[in-house]
Amino acid sequence: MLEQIFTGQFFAYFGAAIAFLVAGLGSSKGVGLAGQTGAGVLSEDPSKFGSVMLLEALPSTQAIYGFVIAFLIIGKINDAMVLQEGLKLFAAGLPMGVVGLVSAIYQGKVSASGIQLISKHPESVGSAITLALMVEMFAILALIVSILMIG
Amino acid sequence: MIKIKQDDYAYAVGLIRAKEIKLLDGDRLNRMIEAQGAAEAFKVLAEAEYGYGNTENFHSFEQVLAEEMKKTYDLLAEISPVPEVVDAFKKKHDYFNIKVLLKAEFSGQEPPQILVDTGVFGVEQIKRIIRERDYSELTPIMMQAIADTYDAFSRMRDPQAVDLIIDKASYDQFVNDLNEFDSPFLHELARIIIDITNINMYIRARSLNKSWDFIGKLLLKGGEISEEFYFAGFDKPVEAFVDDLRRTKYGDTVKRGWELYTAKKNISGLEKLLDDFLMSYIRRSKLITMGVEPFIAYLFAKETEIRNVRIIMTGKINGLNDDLIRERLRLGYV
Repeated sequence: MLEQIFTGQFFAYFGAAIAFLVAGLGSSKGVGLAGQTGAGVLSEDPSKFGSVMLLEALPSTQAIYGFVIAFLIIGKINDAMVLQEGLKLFAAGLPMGVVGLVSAIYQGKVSASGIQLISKHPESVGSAITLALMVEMFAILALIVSILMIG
Repeated sequence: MIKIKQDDYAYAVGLIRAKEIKLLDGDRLNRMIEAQGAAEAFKVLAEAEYGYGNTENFHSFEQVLAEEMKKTYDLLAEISPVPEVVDAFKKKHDYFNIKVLLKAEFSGQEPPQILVDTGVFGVEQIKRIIRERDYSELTPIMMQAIADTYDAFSRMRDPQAVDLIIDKASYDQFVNDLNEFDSPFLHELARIIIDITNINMYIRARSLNKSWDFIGKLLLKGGEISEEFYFAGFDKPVEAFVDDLRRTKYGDTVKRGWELYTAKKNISGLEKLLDDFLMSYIRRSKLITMGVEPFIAYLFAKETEIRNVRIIMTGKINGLNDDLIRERLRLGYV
């Protein structure tokens, strides 16, 4: 019975689900946080919409990377898949999912702080974006590791 | 314990950062001080959109300041994720109103027109509560303070007793409320406020040769400096007490304040330095990007600003020279 449920296919789908689901949760939280701070600034100074939106959108990339990994994993799935193959793809989903979650939340915090920075010094939008992009690097590394593992 | 979640303050902090640019900075306060006369100084406030736009006549500046305070509290109440935080700060205005109303009652006069509209209870509401002696909506500390006041007044007939009892209750309430929140920042704030209030009162009372009986009753509890410390200092001259304080974080501030006092016989210098000490604690919130800290800091920033504006306007109306006004100004947030 159990062998029929826990097949290679099952684990591969599970890996795809984790890659998107967990990274997506992180992005939702990160963009949500930055968006709230952004709304606070805009309620006082609507002219800053452009830079606020740019900063708010940064933590959404993790969900996109998660989507890419989920897409690649699903592409590898076939009916004749053995258990080991499925477990390998499951493991490949983990780096993107977990690192995506954490980096998106922290990037959201940096973005929210960056939005506070530009509310006072609009000319610092470049620095605010650079600071938030530093966090992006870890998500990109996770994306690469996950891609290498999928093979 | 009332939970305070940092991330809940995301919207509030964004709004406050954008509002902070509009605070009166050193430059603008300087323009007010250097203005030719009160009318010109008052124009700076009109530019800063003070009050509800009623900024034509500088004689009504007190009203404009009261409106600005009201505006600040209304804004914070609107955006605060935890309404109790703002209420904790509003209650001191209720205590002020209670004090004014009780004094009016004891002297058999109509309450003067100085009641403030920034308390938890509206002006009409608090008037009704005191008039009808219906205290069910008040906090336990308020009820106790009112009962104590009636008791003390019936025995001593001294209106000053009203001030002492209600002011002390107001601090007790504030500290009690702040300690209810799950926030180390607010707990430390409470401790600093207790300590600077105690130190200021103690040195003031000592220089008036008050008895320990008097001082002990006024000391607030819950600060970093214990009651025993003040008691131990009572047998020694005030210099020795100031010297003993050097091991605490207030050491330098009090020492400078005491030197000012011995040189000029003016205790308000010490009071200013202690206020500045509190503001330098509040200023640390500038580095915190999420949470209750920037929220509270804005309230202090605005209160200090309004206080500074009052010092400048009164100085200008009375024709004080610029340096004398500058000397009295509190350290601002920006």
